[in-house]
Amino acid sequence: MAENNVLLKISGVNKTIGKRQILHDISFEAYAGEVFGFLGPNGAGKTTTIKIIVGLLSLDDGEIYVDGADIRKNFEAAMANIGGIVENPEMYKYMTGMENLRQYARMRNGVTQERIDEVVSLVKLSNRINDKVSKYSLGMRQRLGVAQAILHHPKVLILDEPTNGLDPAGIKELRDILKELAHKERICVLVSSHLMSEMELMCDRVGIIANGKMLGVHTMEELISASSGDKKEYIICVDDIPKALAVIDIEESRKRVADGRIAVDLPAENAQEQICMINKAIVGAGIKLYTVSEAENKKLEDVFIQLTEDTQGGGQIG
Amino acid sequence: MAKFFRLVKNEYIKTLKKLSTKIMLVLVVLAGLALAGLGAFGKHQMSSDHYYYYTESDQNYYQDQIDWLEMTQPDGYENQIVLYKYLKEADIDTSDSRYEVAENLAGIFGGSELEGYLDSLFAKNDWKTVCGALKDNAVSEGEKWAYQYRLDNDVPFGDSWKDEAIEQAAQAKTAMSSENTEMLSADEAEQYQELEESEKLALYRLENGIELNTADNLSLFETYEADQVNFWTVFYTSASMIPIIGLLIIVVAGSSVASEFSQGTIKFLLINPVKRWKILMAKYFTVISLGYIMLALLYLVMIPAIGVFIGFEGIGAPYLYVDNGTVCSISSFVRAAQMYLLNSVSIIIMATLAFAVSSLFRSAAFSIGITVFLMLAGNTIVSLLKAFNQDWARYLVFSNTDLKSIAEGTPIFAQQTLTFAIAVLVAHMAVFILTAWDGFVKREV
Repeated sequence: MAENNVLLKISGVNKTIGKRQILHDISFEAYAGEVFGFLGPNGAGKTTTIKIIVGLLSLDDGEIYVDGADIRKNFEAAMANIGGIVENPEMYKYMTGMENLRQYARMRNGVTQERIDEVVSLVKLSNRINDKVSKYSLGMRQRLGVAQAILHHPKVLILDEPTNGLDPAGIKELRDILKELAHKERICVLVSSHLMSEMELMCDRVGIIANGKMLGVHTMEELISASSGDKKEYIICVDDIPKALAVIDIEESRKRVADGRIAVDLPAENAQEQICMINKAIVGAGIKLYTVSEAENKKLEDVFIQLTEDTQGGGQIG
Repeated sequence: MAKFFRLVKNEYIKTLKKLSTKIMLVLVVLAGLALAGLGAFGKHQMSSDHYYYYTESDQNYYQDQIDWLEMTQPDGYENQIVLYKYLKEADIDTSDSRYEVAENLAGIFGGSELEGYLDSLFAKNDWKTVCGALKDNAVSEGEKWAYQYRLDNDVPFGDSWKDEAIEQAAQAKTAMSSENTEMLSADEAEQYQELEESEKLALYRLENGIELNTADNLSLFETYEADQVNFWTVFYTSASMIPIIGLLIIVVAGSSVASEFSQGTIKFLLINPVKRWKILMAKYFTVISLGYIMLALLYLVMIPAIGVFIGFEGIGAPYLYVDNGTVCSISSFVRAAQMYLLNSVSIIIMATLAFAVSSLFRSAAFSIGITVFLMLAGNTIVSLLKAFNQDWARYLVFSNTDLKSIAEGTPIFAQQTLTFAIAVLVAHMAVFILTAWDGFVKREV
């Protein structure tokens, strides 16, 4: 990863709306060729931060640079390198998809009809592009929004909760498009979400925000190892849970029942050996053993919840 | 600049793609057609009505007069009977100018002398003898001049537009001759100037053979005879339909910014490498220019519409007016355009107000509602304030939007000059535009 190529630099951004301070000293950087996840619970300040980056909201103090251009001093140059969707992909419903894209093409420099067609086929809307947007599904509007956002070859692509309202197939499609844009075209993609599981599949790095404060920026690998730490969790499915619990020979605090299954925490260094022993004990006691599996995703979500709750004392902003 | 026009193009596409805008344009066309149709209908109605008591033919009218005179035998009834007999025999219409000439003759001459002149007038077609005799017996300055003019320029009685112009000049001359130019009050001096101008215009028409001066046209609402309804009567009246365009353009202005917010498209509009004030100006330019396109549309629709319903007769007639003592002639098309532009001032101001309110409150309904309310109530409010002697009301926008009246010297408030009115209007426009600016450019979205 070309870490020296900073495309989006946010430093010391504060924002107060009314009497409430929404953002406290937000700073982070995002690089070319990465999908940067902007993660936080609802109301943490994700959308506010994004709106400030794209110029919909003013910033009280701090600085934002897009490919070196200050958004306050050089707004048009900065915005020429940004594409984005903020909140819902609302388009002019009484126009066709193509007419909508032409609207945006006219507001930006150097977008040809060929480029519009290219983007349309990239988001797989070619066969519906001449229909009125009022007839589009949410997924199609989301894709039209992405097409709009990348029309002018922006160096920074900003998507605010892009998977909201999409079905699993749509989410996967979007994820693939974003990964391709970042990794092949070396765009800096910034995606906000409140779902850790989503970020995990999409992002290279994650910045976590809660209660208007930046809690830290981590690579996905860092988070995964942090979540497991010195222990690993396994899920065991059996027919007779009390009997199985009795034969699992580890400390009481490390084994528990959840959702009709047994969960065990094992030390990371010899987890595999231990799970073998447990396996053997259950089978040896004549209990039916259905599955044994490693639980990881849930832990990542836990890390996120723990991280955010610790700092904000469990509270969330409205 | 090219980029600005691309923004304007965007706004035009957005506006024209809306069904409501298409309906508005159709309404403008329909309004034009409807007015032309009403003009034709009115003209037809007036031509089938008779505006004197005798709805039968003029022949019967003359006979009735004769019967009545014979029965009552008032002073000088013999002459009157001779007059009516001749009129009846020659089958002269009461609207014919020779009717009046014959009446004049009957007032001056009697017996065989009268019969001789009436003979010359109707049977022998020897109008010059009659004209000479009338001239010798004329009392007023105007009459003397008129008969002399006919003789000099070979203008027989019964040439309708020349009769009318000669009459106009003669009346002005007579009225002026009775004034003592040395001792005129301000009002009298003004009247005297009007008489002078009236005379000049009449002479100009006679000299240049101009049948119709469209400045003499009444508004369609004031006409009472079919002859008064011509191409330009209806065309000039169409300028009074401009408030309809005003309503339509207020709707466009009030929803231009507000609809971006209500549709949620504002965020996509503003995430572009274009400064907000440029977007705002493109929107404003679109609203105002669309207003003028609607005006042009109405103007262009009126030409064929009137032509079809009423006919193109008189289409080439000029608009004559007196400026600094000389008669000026402009095409009536230019005059109609001037009237349209003069009437457009108030609708542009109202559209600007709607635009400003809409950028400030982001609600189309609110901005359209408040602007239409002010448009309808504005004049009433000003009149009330005037009635309560609130002189500060002269600074209100509605006291100054009727530039036509102010230019003609009949403003609502005393000594309200055109310069003052324009200054007030410009100040209001500046406030409206700055409000829109502040509401849009600094808005947190």
